[in-house]
Amino acid sequence: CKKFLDVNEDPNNAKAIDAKLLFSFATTSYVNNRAGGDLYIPMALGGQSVAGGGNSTLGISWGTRSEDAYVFSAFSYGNIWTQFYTSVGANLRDIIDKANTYTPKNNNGVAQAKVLLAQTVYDLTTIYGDIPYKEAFNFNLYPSPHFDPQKDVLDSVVALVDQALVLFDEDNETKFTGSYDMFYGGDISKWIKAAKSIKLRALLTMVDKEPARAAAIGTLITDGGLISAAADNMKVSFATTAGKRNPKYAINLQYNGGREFFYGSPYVVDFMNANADPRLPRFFDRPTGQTAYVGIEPGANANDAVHAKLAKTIHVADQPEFVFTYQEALFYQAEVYARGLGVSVNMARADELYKAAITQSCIFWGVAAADAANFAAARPSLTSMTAADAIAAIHYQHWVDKMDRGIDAFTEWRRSGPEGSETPALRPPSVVGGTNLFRRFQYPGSSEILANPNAPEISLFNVKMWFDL
Amino acid sequence: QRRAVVGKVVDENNVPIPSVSIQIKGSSAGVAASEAGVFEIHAANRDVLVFSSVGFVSKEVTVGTKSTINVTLVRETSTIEEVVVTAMGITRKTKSLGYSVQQIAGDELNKAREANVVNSLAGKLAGVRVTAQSGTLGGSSKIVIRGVSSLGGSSQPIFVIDGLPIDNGSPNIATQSGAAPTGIASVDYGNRAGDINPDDIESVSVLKGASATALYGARAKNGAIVITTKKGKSGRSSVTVNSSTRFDNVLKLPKFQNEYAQGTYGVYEVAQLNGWGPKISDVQDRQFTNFLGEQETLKAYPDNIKDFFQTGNTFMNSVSFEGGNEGADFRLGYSNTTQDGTVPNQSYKRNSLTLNGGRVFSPQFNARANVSYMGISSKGRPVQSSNNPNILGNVLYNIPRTVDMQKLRDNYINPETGQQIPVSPSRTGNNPFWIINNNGYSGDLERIYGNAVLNYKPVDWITVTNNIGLDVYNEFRKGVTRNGTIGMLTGGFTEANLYSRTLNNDLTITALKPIAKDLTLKALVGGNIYEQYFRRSQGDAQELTVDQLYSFANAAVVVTQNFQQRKRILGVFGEIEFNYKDFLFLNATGRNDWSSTLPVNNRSYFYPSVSSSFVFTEVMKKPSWLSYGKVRATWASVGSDESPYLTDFYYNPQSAGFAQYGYGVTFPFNGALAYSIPITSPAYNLKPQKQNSYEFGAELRFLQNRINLDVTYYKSKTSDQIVALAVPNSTGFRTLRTNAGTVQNSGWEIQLGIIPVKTSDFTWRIDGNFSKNKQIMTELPESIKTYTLASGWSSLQIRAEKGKEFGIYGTGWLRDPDGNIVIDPDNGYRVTTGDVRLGNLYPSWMLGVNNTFTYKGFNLGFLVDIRKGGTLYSSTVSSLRTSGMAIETAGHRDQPIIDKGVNETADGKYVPNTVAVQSTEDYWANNFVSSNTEANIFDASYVKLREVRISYMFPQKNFSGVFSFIKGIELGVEGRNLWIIHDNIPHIDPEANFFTNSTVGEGVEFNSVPTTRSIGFNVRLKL
Repeated sequence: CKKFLDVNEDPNNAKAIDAKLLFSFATTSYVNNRAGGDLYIPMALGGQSVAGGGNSTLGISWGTRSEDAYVFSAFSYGNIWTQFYTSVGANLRDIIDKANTYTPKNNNGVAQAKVLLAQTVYDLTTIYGDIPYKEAFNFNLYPSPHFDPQKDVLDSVVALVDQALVLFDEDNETKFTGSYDMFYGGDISKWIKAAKSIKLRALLTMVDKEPARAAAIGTLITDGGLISAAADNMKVSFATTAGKRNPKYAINLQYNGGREFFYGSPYVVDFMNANADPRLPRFFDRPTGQTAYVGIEPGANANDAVHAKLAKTIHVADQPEFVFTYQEALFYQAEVYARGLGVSVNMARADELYKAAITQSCIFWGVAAADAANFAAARPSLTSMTAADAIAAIHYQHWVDKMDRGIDAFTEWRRSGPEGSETPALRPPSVVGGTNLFRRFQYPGSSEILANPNAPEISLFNVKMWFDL
Repeated sequence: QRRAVVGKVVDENNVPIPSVSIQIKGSSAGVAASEAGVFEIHAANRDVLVFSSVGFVSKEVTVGTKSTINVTLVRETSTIEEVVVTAMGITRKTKSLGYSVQQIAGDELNKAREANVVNSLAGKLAGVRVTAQSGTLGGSSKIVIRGVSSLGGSSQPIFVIDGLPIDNGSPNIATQSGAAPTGIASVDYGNRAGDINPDDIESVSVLKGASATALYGARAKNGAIVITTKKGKSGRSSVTVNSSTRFDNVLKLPKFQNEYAQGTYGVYEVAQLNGWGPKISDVQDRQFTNFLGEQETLKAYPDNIKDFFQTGNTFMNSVSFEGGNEGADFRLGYSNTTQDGTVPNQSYKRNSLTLNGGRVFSPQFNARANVSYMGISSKGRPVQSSNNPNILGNVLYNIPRTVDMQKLRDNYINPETGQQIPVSPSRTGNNPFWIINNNGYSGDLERIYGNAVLNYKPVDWITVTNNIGLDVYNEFRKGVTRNGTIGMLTGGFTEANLYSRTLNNDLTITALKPIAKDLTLKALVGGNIYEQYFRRSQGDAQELTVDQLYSFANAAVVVTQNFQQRKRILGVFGEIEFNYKDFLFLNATGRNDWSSTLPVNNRSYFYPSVSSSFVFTEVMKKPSWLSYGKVRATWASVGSDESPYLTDFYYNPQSAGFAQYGYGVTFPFNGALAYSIPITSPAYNLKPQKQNSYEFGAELRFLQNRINLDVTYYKSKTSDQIVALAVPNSTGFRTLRTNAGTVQNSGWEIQLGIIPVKTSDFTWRIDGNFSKNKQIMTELPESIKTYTLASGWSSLQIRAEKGKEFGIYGTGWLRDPDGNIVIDPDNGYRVTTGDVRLGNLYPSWMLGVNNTFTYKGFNLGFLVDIRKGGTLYSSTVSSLRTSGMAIETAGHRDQPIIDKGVNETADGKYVPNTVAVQSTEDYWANNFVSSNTEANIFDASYVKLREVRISYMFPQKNFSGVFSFIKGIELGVEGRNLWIIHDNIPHIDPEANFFTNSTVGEGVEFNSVPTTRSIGFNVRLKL
C-alpha cells in the first residue's frame, strides 16, 4: 500500500540544480523586465524622455490614453514588483543563502549574485520608494516583511556591493562564467568595476538628502576602478533570432508591423535641435519630407506626417539592455567634480569629464569618433558658467544620453534638482489637467500591500520619495 | 388464443408511468411499458395482467374481450416506496434517507435537450446553481451545490456514471508566459461532463450534502451527480429514435447609438474604431474616406452587428436498440449532435456510441459491462479576455456605426496582395471576417469510459460486488493566428495534447438481514482504489515563414512545454443501517482515505457520518389532509486532499522569461538554460481539508399527494482549507501553500409540488425549487486582510474577507459621507479610490418554477428561472461606453456635462458639483474605463424563461395495420433560453462568466460571445 501511494515525487521539476541556472534566470528576468512593457513604457513615457503620441493609432497608445497621459496600469505596478522580488531577487538570494552548500565554494558566484541583487534593489527603491529589504526574501522568519526607509535600502545596496568586493577573487576560477554570466562572461575584473560604479550611483542618489555620503563618493572617485571603457559596459545582449529579441523591438514588430511606436519628446528633440546635435539622426527618424525634427508633447496626439519617431536603428532586435555605461560613469564623475562631492570643486576637471562623457555618448550612439570629439569640444565650457548652470548642463546631457533607458533617465531627472528645479523643467501632460508630475510607481495591491499587514499606505504616482527633493 | 392487447399506464395525475412491468399472471411472459407508459402484450381473454412498478400499488386486470386496457396505478401512499440512487450506486428507499436527494429522470432532461447535460439541470434542483460560461458551442458549465465552500480550486461536484467517477475537468492551457500573446487560456474548451450523451441517461441523482456523499470520500466534497445509464429492459425488443432540430439566434445584443460616426471630438478619423466622430446627419454634404480608402457619404447601419451573426442550428439525433429477457439485457445507443454557431465558422460535432449489457449466469452470479465512446470535434471556439488579437467581442462591437458589415465581409482580404484589409490600424483594428475566416481555436477529443460489474451472492443475504471502471480521453487543441493579424503580425499557433486517465475500482460486500422482530440490519464494507493521471504536451510557435502553414518547422521560434501528474487514493469504507418497522431508520457511514498527495504523516484521514429518518405518519393518527410526513437529520465530517506535488521544494525549469505584451525571451537565452525557485512556498506539513456539516429536513405530502413539500436546512463549515495564500511578494514567494481559513455555508432549500387541477383529461402541475445560501468566511489567518481567490483585470479581484461572502473588489468611486460621488474640481471627472468591495459574488436566492399542463396526449411545460443578487463586472459594457458605441453615449454630445456628485471644498465640506466635463467623449472615456471597476459593475439578478416545451403523443390506436410496428410517436416543439424577462444589466446577458469551472472565480464578463436562444422541434419514435 505504501508503495502504491508513494508517487508524490514531482516528475516535472528538480530537487537540486546548479546555481548558475538560477543566475541565468535572474539575469534574464531582470533585463527582460527593464526593457519590457511594464517598466520601459511607463518610465520612458511617464518620465517624458520619450513620447507616446496620445491617441494616435500608430503610437504605443493604440488610440486610447496611456502612460504619456498618466494612465498607468495596475499590472505594471504589480508585475515589476513581482518580477523583481520573486523572479530576480529571490533566485539571487537562493544562490547567496545556499552558498555554503557548494563545493568548491563559489565566492565569485556569490559576489556576482550580490552585485546583481544590489542593482535590482536599487531599481526597486527608485521605482517604489520605501521597500522591504532587510526582512525580504526570508519567508520563514519574516512572512510579512517590514518596509525599510529608502535611506536604509540605499545603504544596504552599498553594503551589498561592499560585501561583493570583498568576495571577488580574480584568481579563483570558480565563478559564473561563459554563457551563464551574460554580463561579462566570467570576467571578474569587469564585475569589480561594475560593482564600484553601481555603488557610486547609489551614493549619488542619496547625497542630496544625505550629504554625509559625499565622503564615500570622494573615496570612490579618488580610488578609481570605475567602468572606464565602452568594453566595460554592464549590459546583456539580445539577439536577432526570434524569441531572443529585445522586448522593445518585439512589441513594435508584433503590434505595429515593425514600425516604431515611440515618438521623440520635445524635451529631448528641442534641446538637441538647439545644439545641432550629431546624435539627432541616431536618436530619431524624421517623417518623409520633413526637414526638421519635431517632438510631440507627452499625451498630445501625434501626427505621423510631422512628428519624429525614435530611430529604427535604436529599437533593433539585438539592442542590448544597458545597466551601466562608460559615458554614464563619466557624467557622474563630472558631476562629482562640479559639485565638489567628497572632492574639491574642480570645474576644469569636471569640464574635461563632461566633454569626454559627451564624446563617449556620441560614439555610443553611432557618431563617428572625430565628429563626436568636435561636437563635445564645441560645447560651452563648464568653467565659463555659474556652478548651477554647469551642473544643469551635465544633468541635461546625462539625461539625454539615457533617453531610451526608462527608469535610469527618470531617476536621473528626479535626482537633478529639488522640485521645480529639475533638469529639464518638465510639465505635466496638458491633457491630464491639474496634477503633479509623475514621481513613482504606486505600491501594488495584490502582490504586496493586501497580503502584508506591515505595509504602509499607498502613495500616489505623483508623490515624491525620500531621495527626490 | 393470444392476441395483441395495447394500453397505457398512468399515475393518478394522469402522467404516464414509464417502464411499468406487465406480466401475465402465472407465466413468465411479460413486457415493459415504454417511457411514455405505452405497452403492447399478447394475451388470451382469460389471462390476468399484473401491472407493477416501484412506488406504486400493483394492479391486476383480467383481459376479457378488451383490446385496449388503460390502467391507472396509485402511488403507495402509506408506504412510499420511491427509490433513489445514492452514493456508490446504492438504491435506497427515499423514506429511509436522512438527507435530501433530488433525482431527475432522464426523460426530464431530454425535454428540450441541451448539448451539455449540465445546462439542463438549471432551475430544476433546489440548491444547485448552474452557470454557463459563454455562448461558446461545446462551452463549459459550472455547477455549484449549496454554495462554494472552498477557497481554492474547483468547487465542482464529482460526476459518477454507473459507479465510475468520471473526469469533469476543464483544464486551462496558457501559452508559455512570455512566448506568445497570452489569452489562449480564455478559450472555453468545455467541461468534460458536457461530453455525456443525455440520451443515455436513465436518471440523475443529486447528492448535495456531505452525509450523502460520505461514501465517496474526499472526491465528493462538493457534492455528487450520480448518473445511472439506461439498460435494456426485459420484454420485447424496441428501437427508439429521437430527433431534435433547433435554430439558435443571439439572445441579447448591445443597444448601439446610430447617430455618430468614428473619430475624435466630433472630427471624422478613419483610424479610430469608435463612435466619437461627427454627427452623421450633420455631414451629409461631405464625403469621407472609409476603411477601403473610398470616398463615401456617411450613413448609419443600425443592424450591422446583428448582420454579423447568423442563425445557428443544432441537430441532435439518436437511436437506441434495446431488449432483454430474464437472463440478459442489451442496449446499444448511438447519438449525433451537430451544431453550427451564430458566429460564422463555429461548429461542434459529437458522436457517441454506448453499449450496455448484463447477463445472469446463475442465481448467485451476474455480470454487466457498459462502455461509451465519444468523438467530439469543434471549430472556431472564440477567445475571451484581453491581449489576444483573436478576441471577437472587442473587435466586433467597436466597428463604427457607419461601416457596412457586408462591405467588411466582402473585403477582408486584398485579392492582389493577400494581406488583410483591416478596419483600422489600431490594436483592435482586425477585420472580424479576417479573424473568423483565418484564425481560430479548434479541438478534437476522443473519450472512452466504461465499467464492468460483477455480482456474487454466496448466500441470499450477502452480495459481493466489484465495479471496475476506466475513463480515458485524449484531447488535441489547436489555435492559429495567420500572418498579418494585427497584434501578431508575424503569425503563430499553439498546439496541445491532453491526456487524462481515471481508474477506479470499488469492491463492496453487502449484508442484509433481519436481526430481531421488526428490525433489519444492512451492513456494507468496501474498498476503493483510485488513480488519476494527466499529461499535457504543448508547443507555442511564433513567426511563421510560409503563410498559413501551421507546422513547427515553419516557425522561427517554438516553445515547448510538458507536464504530467499522478494522484492515487486508497479508501476503505463501511455503512450500517438499521431499519425499524420501515418507519425509523438510522444510518452510519465511515470512510478512511489514504491520499498520495499529502505528507506521509498526514495522508490518512477518516470521516464519519450519521443520519436518521423518521416517517412519523406511520405511528400517529394522521389527519385526513396529511398524506405523508417524514423528518430527517444528519451530520457528517469529510476530509479532502489536494493536487499532487505541493509538499516539497522544487526548482522549476523555465522555458521563457516574462516581459509584458508577451515578448520576453525564451530559453536557452545567450546559450544558457534557466531554473527558478518555486513561486509557491511548499506545504511540508499539509493536512487534509475538513468539512463538518449537518442538515435537517422534512418531507410532507398533503391532500392525497396533491401538494408535496420538502424543506431542508443545512450548515457546513469547511476549515483547514488547502489554499495558495497570497503572500507579500517581497518574501520572494508569491503564494504559500497551507491550511488556512474557514468557510461556512448555511441555507434553506424548499421544493414544492402542487397539482392545482386534476381531471381525467387535464392536469396542471407546478414544481418550484427555492434555495437560499448564505456564505461567510468565518476565519482567516490574522496575517492577511483578505484572500484573493481570482484576479481579474486592471484592478478587479475576487476575494474572501473575514465575516463576509466572497465578493468583487476593485477601484470604486470616492464618495462623501452621504454616499455622493466626489467629482474632481479640476476636470469634472469622478474621483476613484482603490480597492473597494463592490458586491457579493453569489446570488442571495434562486427560484425555478416549472409548470406542466397535460391534456390527453398534449403536454405543455415551461420553466422560469430566477436568480436574485450577485454581482457582474462587464468589460463589454465598459468598451461600448468608452468608445461611444452604446446608445446612452449619444446624448449631450454638444454640451459640457456636469456630472451628478459633489466637490470637496478647501475646508473639507462637500457641495454639489458645478464643474463640467467639456466633452461627452472625455466624460465616458474617463469615467467608464475598464480599470474603474465600479463603473462597470452590475446587479446580476435575472428572471428568465429557461425552457418551453409543447408535445403531443399520438395515441397508440392510430398505429394499426402496416403501422402497428410503431409503439409510439411523440412530436414536440421546444425552446431554450427564450426570453430574459428581467435583468439589471444593459447590453449583455447577465449569465456570463469568464472563469472556467476549474476556478472559484465568476462574476466577470470579458468580451464574451453573446449567448443564444434556441427554438426547434423534436420527434420521438418508438418501434
